[in-house]
Amino acid sequence: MSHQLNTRRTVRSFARSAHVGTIAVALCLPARAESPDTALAALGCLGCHAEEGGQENGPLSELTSPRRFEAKEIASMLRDYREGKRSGTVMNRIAAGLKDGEIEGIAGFLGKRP
Amino acid sequence: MNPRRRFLRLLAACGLGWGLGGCASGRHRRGTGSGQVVVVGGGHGGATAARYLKLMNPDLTVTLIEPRDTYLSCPGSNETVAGLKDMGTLVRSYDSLRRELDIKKVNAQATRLDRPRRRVVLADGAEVPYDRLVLSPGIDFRWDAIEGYDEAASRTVPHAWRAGPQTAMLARQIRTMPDGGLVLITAPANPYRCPPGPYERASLIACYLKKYKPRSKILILDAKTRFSKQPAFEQAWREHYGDMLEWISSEKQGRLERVDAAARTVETEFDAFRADVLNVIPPQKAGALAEQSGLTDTSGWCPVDPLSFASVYDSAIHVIGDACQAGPMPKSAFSANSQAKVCAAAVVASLAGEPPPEPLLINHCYSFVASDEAISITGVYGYSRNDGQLETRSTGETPPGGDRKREAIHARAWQRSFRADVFGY
Ligand SMILES: Cc1cc2nc3c(=O)[nH]c(=O)nc-3n(C[C@H](O)[C@H](O)[C@H](O)COP(=O)(O)OP(=O)(O)OC[C@H]3O[C@@H](n4cnc5c(N)ncnc54)[C@H](O)[C@@H]3O)c2cc1C
Repeated sequence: MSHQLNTRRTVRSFARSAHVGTIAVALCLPARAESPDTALAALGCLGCHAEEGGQENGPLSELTSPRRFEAKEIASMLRDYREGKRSGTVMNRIAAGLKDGEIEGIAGFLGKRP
Repeated sequence: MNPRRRFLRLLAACGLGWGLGGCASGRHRRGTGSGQVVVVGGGHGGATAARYLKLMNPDLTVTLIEPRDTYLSCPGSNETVAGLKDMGTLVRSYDSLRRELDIKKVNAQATRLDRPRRRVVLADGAEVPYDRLVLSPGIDFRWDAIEGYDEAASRTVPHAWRAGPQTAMLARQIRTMPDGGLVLITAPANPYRCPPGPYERASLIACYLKKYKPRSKILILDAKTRFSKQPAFEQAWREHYGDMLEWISSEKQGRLERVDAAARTVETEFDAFRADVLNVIPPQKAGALAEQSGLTDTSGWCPVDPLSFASVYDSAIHVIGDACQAGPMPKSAFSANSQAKVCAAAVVASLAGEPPPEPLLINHCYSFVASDEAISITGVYGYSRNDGQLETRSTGETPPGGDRKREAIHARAWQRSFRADVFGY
């Protein structure tokens, strides 16, 4: 029974994050003919910042759960990492591989739900 | 295309819009394609693929074929070799995938693929039909590559390059070797599973020996002239282990000519070594099933289209993880996990008659250099439309003077959160 609920919560959390992403992308992304899919790219981030249990029970581990932040906070953190204004262990190196529109899209997908 | 429409189409393709109803847009619907997807191999690649297929489209029937009841993780296994953790910490359960996501787990070895009829044939002759097949069989060893080192030899001289009894054997040999003895690790040429793995292993064995058997020595006999995270490893080695640990480039010793498992000796072009503990990490290739099914090329690995990870030889079969050639991406659990998500999205899209979304992939891999210090390597990979291959957007390693203690805390946290992302608990 609790397992069932859990599944639904997981799937729903994807749906909700997708919703946030829709708005963020619609507002922030410049139209670009060719670009990676930012929702799919954001799933890559979950390899460290795992989704499950990350919100209701606080961060899963010392790797801060991005879900605790607003999308725009995440986007500004990512830009600061990329530009060296914020220092971390690995996030500077990862953010260096992201372009502006991608940062907005990824942050929109990962950020706090309304 | 208008970015919003592009995104909605993507959501539809990914099936991520479940439960959205009409709140975002009346046009948006969940991906409608249903079908039978079979995943062979329940390691980091396969388990992630099965999990994300179901998260993206709960209507799919997803079957995971894997002979073992539980999986043993290679990440963390070098800590086991050095006695920092017990084997139990490497165990991963499939319960959450089965119970929470309704993934069917078939405990069997896939012995053969019937590609024309789209069936996986199991050891007992049973057949499992598929609309799309995801293969993540990991590696097999090239038992013919090093004279004297075949499967029989590995029963006394471990490779420990798949977690399990091999890991336990190497740990036992390290624990029982005499103080003042020699540990010899041979590292293969690229490409192979976990490029920094041999050097993490040497570091952690050194960490153990420094404490318990300080007169001992470790040699790494390499088939390469350079290796992953080399400056960061070498700095840590100088600081912690001094002369105890020595790396020997292939420039110095040439080819590894012969191994004598009974005598625990290794001959190179120029020299011979006798070890107390010998750890041979042999050259590798894609898991046997991929090779037998005609999905490998002359390199021994599986060429794929990086947009979907579909085999270039069979568009109904996707190959991910160590077994595939993913351009510049190293063979790591993180790469396998990242590829599995791209592959799942492509499978869901193709069953709904949509093209695959364009990927952006990540690799990120920690290596311990001491019990409480780690270093890392990171890469972001995009898709190049010019040549249809993955290209490196950015890479980076822990710089000299990096915060290794903090990375070690993150590395242990990663093992936990990665388990959640792959196995769902
Ligand atoms: C010592 C060591 C340390 C490592 N540390 C790290 C690390 O810190 N970080 C990192 O990212 N990576 C690390 N790796 C690499 C990582 O383990 C692999 O890259 C990763 O497991 C690859 O995933 P995979 O799905 O391709 O293969 P695997 O995880 O090996 O899974 C393959 C699965 O397929 C099954 N299988 C094979 N053939 C069949 C068949 N015919 N039928 C049914 N099932 C089959 C096997 O039983 C197995 O469970 C390390 C590796 C080693 C050796």
